[in-house]
Amino acid sequence: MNPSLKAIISLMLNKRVIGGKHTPEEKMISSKTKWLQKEEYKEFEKEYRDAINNQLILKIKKRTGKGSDWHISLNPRKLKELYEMIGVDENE
Amino acid sequence: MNERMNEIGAFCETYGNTIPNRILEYLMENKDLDFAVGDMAKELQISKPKSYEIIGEFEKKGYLKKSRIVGKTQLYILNKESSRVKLFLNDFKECLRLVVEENSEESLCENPNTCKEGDYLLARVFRLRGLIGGKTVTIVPVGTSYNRVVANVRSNRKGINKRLR
Repeated sequence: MNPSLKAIISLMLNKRVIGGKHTPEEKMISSKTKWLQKEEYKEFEKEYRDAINNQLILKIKKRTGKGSDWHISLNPRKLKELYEMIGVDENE
Repeated sequence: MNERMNEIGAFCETYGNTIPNRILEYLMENKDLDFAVGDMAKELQISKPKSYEIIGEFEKKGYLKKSRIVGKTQLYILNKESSRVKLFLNDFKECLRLVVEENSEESLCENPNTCKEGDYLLARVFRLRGLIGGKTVTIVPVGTSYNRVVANVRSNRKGINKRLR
């Protein structure tokens, strides 16, 4: 699993950004991918897209005063799956 | 980051919300990623001098090590070989496990006719305007998607008509 995606998931789990609680996608991604190289970023993008397509991470559009923002949260029905995903690499 | 993200994490909730603990929590969240001290200070809303002070202490103790230099910025990474760090990582993992246990929706029921009192029911919005399987429902939107909500089934009670968007 990509270390940036792993960092995003463990941060969201630790801060309980689950279900109804969400956080801006752009800020989250930019903070965790700031020092990645181009190839690493591409890998991250691919894995992140997979996580969204598999509904591990939920993406919703939030209306704001100036327009709308994409927000993300963890799927409360797939928490165990997410937890296992983080744990797999640790055991290696 | 933003105000919401500065809420206390599960690790700091357990071991105390102090600056070294917050930094330790940040290190464990980014255990495979290298980071700059300035970014960390900004994200945790701690002053830069204090961050450098604590990072220096951690470096002396062997919790982290220097990884690479990008431009003029020194990046650091968690030293996973340290036995103390291994201990911290185990504790952090246990904290995450507790969060998963507290927040997972295990009692989700997809068939309205077999639901018991207190179960969570998955149904489409239009079906929730009234009775489902002879039971009244309380609607609790969770924001998972636009056409689905989670409803808490309460039998033998009069309908609660919560209007949806």
